[in-house]
Amino acid sequence: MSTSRASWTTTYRALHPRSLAIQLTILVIAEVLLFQTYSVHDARFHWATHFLVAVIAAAVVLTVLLRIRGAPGPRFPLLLVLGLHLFAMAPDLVFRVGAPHAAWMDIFLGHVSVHYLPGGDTTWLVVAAIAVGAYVVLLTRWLRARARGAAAAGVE
Amino acid sequence: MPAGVVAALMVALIAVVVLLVRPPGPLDDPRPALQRDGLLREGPVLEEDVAGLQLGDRAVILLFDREQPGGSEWEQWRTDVTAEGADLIVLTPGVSAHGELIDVIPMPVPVDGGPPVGYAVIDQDRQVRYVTLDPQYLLNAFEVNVITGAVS
Repeated sequence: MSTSRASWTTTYRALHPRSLAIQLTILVIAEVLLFQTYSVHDARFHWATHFLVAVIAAAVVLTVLLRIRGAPGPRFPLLLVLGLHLFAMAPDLVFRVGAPHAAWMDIFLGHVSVHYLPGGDTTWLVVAAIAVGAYVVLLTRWLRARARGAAAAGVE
Repeated sequence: MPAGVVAALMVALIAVVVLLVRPPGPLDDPRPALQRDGLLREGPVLEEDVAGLQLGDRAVILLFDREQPGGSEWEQWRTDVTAEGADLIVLTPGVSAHGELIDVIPMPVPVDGGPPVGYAVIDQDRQVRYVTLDPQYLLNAFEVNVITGAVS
């Protein structure tokens, strides 16, 4: 593998279609299972709030990394969403083993306070759409700039 | 990832939230954030005798419902929530202390404006430590146990 080819692979590995497809499959299966665990206890809106907050946090991380590193990252962006969702809902897991919620649990992506946003899940949905949309715009611009640079340099 | 794929995923997410995450029903709290929030409170301290009900000495679950619950599911729920030593008092609109306790706790008013369906947990010092509407309380005995376990 040439140096330029290796560099290309490293730069674009977060966007590899097969990797993204596998990550998406894992994410959807995991989220369906998590949704079920909340749904049987009549708590669907809690699932939605923490998932949307995780999506927003992931979009922020992806945006910051793209701006700082000048390349998409981390390597598994959709698993980042799942990881952040599990982090955000951690106090619910703690509750299951006997500890009521407390204000300090806001360290888990605002676990307690996020429910008090006016408009609730609808507002979080709008914010998530804006955050993801902004990242996609930024990523699209970055890809086009890379394509123009590669064309100007005469390499693939 | 192409913008079109991301857009399709966002549409799917919007559909899930809009179609599957139901808004508050008639018996729910109009403020979803305050329903079953799992947060202990430092609420008012009740009198030892409230309309003939004796409070104190141990944690008490005051269950509010619009009619006396029954059936095997209820019996299981009652067994579960009292297993650790908490008392359980069922309050329906026909019980004399019902209205006074709603006022002094105070219990939230559901969307339909009728009597509450939910519960309050009073600790052994007669302080209100938890209040929530929960029309599906029979599904959530473990939540009551977490609260009574924390205040006992």
